[in-house]
Amino acid sequence: MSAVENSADWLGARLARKEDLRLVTGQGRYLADIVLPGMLHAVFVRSEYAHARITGIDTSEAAAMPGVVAIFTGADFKDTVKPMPQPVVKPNLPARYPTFWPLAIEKVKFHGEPLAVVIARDKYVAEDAAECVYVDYEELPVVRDPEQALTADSPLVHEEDGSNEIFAMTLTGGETPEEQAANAAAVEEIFQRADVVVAERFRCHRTGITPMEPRGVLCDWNDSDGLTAWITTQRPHIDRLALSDLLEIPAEQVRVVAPRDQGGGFGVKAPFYRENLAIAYAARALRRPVRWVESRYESLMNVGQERDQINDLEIAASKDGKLLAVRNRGVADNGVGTIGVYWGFVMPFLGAVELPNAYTWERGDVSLRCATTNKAALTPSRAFGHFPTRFALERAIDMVAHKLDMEPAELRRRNLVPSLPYTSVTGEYYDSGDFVKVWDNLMAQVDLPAFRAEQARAREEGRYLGIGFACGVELSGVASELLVPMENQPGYGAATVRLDPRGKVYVFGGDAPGGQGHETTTAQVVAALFGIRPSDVVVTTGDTGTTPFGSGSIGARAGSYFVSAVAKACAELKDKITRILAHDLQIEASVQHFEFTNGEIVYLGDAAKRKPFTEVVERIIMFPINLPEDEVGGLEHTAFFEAAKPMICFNADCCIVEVDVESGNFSIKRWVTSEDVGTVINPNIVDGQMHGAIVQGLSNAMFEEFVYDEQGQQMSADFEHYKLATAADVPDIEITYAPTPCPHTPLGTRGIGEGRPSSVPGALSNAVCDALRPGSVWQKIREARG
Amino acid sequence: MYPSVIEEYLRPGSVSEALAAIARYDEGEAMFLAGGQSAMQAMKSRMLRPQCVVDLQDVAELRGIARDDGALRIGAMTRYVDIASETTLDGAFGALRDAAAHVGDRQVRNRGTIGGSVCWNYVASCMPAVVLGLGGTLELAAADGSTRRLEADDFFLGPLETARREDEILLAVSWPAPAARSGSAYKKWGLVRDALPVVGVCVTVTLGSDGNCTQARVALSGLAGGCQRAPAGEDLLRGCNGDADAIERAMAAIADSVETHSDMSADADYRRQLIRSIGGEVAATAFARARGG
Repeated sequence: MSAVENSADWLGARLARKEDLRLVTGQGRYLADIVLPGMLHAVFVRSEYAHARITGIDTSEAAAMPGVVAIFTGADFKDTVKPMPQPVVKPNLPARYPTFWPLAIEKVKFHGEPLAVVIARDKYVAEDAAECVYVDYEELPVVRDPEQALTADSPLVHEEDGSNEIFAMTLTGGETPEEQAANAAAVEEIFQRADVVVAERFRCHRTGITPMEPRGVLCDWNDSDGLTAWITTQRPHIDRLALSDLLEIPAEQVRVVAPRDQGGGFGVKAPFYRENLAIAYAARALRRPVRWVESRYESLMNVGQERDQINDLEIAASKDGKLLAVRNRGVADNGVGTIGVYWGFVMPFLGAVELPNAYTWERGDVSLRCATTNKAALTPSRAFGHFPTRFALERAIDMVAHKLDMEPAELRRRNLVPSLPYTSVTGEYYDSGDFVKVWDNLMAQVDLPAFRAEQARAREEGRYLGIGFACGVELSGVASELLVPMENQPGYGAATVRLDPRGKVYVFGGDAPGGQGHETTTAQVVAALFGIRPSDVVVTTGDTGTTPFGSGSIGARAGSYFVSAVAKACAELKDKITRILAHDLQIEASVQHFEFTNGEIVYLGDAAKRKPFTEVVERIIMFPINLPEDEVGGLEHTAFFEAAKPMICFNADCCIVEVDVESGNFSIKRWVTSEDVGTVINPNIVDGQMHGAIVQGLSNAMFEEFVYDEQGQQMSADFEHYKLATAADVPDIEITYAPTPCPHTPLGTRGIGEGRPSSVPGALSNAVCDALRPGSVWQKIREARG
Repeated sequence: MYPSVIEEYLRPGSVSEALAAIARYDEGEAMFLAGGQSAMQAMKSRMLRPQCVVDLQDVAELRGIARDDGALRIGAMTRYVDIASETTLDGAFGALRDAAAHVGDRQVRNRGTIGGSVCWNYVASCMPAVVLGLGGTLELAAADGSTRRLEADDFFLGPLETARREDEILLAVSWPAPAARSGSAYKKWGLVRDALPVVGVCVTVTLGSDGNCTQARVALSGLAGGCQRAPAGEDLLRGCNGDADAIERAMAAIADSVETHSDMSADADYRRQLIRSIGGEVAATAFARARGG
């Protein structure tokens, strides 16, 4: 740390992460490390069928086994737990919200749905007993295909809804059907007169996220304090409200703690899950601590499944390379939809909003239908919702370029939004940045004419090289104007900053990170603002008992909203500190006349007037006498931050591949990026976000797929079948930056990393298709061989 | 993912103790643990429910790679990492290192053993095909003190099946000194690096003084029927000098003659294509090693 001379330079310093020592030496404390006296263990009995009526559950043999404390089935909850949907976990979007309880009642709707829970003295006994819970099923026809699910004669997943269409929306043209129809007609008119039209069906398979640490919950009940729940969660404050509402426990008697160390969330830990409710119920009923730790098998069958979508996408363009209009009809395979906050369709909804990306369309006609099926509900997975739409759009843009005989990179650059702010055809607001600067920086890393020459030479030798591009506008935090309708939650960031008499700083945040490095970045911000060291700063997150309300670690909120709230709180405290210091120094001065640097507060008008930061802080907290009029002692402030409008970050990718036309295998020769991440707090952490996101995008695109068979059985519930990229499968990634500080945050920072995987599949498939133009060589070889 | 009740866990220090321990249980109720990289998964998912686990990790006499005037004997409890690091396993035995170096990940290679793998005989595994392709001999011992030696062709019966009786322990896999100008190689393909093989090919050749192939063995992994020889290709390799066309013909004959299946990893056609492309590469390496190159 001695490399940093001026403490202001903590902002942007490539510091090793504060949390890493404990994490890499086995001293992390995860949910499964928490043990309470008398703790019981839970195992869920899960449906063997995708769609079946439950005709009987026999728990008698299991209940009689030594060590089994209790077994609950759906019937136990029907009259004792309020069903979902409840307002706290229900978006303000018009949809058919299915009614459900923690455990299946009457029928099971996907392979893996929980229908009973065994509570026992240890996990072994619980699993032994779970095997002896006998369920009688009457099989029902399985709803597998989202398009068929939307036909009139399809069997219904949720019979009471009368339809499998859980959500449908037109995102362009206006609010009323008349306005939307007029817009659709105007778009059609553009297509009619366009020089070039591309129309293609793009299918994105079911894939998403597999955090290293699966889900888990530990609930403790006592009659005076109520419920304390440790949950692997990204949003403890929402979980608290949901547990209170659904179990009808007064809110002041519910505390939720997200363990300080969580093995990744990536969206998977953002919903409110029925399993958590079942465990809280059991702990209260039994008055014993009860813990459930999800197995990998359960995790792969229940969460992390996203992207599953068909997009019929059309682009109209002029012959001089102007993108005119985009039309998309999306159909998402929503799965069963029985998860709080998201219901399966919130991700496809945002994916449709984000479809237009960074281009200046004259008009768009974008609509979406989401179909419930007998599969696990779609759950949020980093690049929330727009992995399939961005893939479709970026691939289609290359197809337009080929029709125009134009370089895809050139077509993109010509159509980038030239200046911000800008509102997209779906109404998404892009606040600031410089897309063209980011793009030109990318192109400066890649000598395109030299590549085309190399490609031509290689082709003569029978080698097939290809280049692909894509870019992505991503959310930097989720503003209230989007988060209130989408998830019924506020977007602002909140932070409490507390100083102690020794000059140490404690930051409390209500979000619940899963390894992104909040302890380090937050400490760097505080250290830079107070002129102290990051090691003097302690960051606490995720405990609803000690932190201000936060909507959770979602949507790149840390670099956008949370650190901005921290900066605001620090500014308030600096104001107070300097008011009192000026009074003590008997000078007329305010905060702008002081510098906080290297552990001291220096009066800029006379550098001899300086005091150690610690001394001033101790004086204000411990010796509040001889204060200026109307001041009181103490140093703690809670600040809330929300920008006036939503904010974004932006990136662009270039991929170069070589395809082996004999085997069809390809290797990635280069992956180059250009990023606008605003002001960087810690380059290591930002690099890490980009590496992780790109690897995730590659792994999703190349290896991972959740597979269901004809009967709706899940075939990919282990890592032998759900294949993740390893280090050896991914290229070196060249990350470059072309940042524009965000003018709407106190430090110029942007939230980054959440949407970042979404431009990966487009760049990758564009590169492979470029290598094989014209047509698929592999296909031709096969045809030649007969 | 917790195993069903395991009443007894034993860690014998010798082969005789290990055999005595197994003999105390009825057939199917006790099992050897030879590294546990497959068996532990099977136990945790309750596909296997042994009452007794006899862990062989302390049986020193089952470990080690011994060379005697060119002959090779690999103890059943020899780990992948030890085989992969044994630089004397080249030329005729090159396939052993090719395979062992890419089984699973580092953790798997540090615990998994050759004996565990061949006795488990999973369809998507490398060691059975390599032992078959190299024509190894499997040395088995029983509790009554008897021993027997089985050729690989007689040992591997089908997916998850071998000729080993449950009261027998595999002591070692062994080979006599290879003929001069012998070479072998192995390669697999999976969707991700070092994955279980979708297809794997092992080729062993011995060349005459004129450089033409006099003996050839080809074995495949990743097929639904389990590891298997590919006689159609062996016939075509014998007599050829390892030129690209001859190899191509041999591998095409194999691809056309074996039964391939379609699953999530690859369809039947693509498996045939993999046999051709991997097989060609592997055969060329085996010839080069036989020539001493």
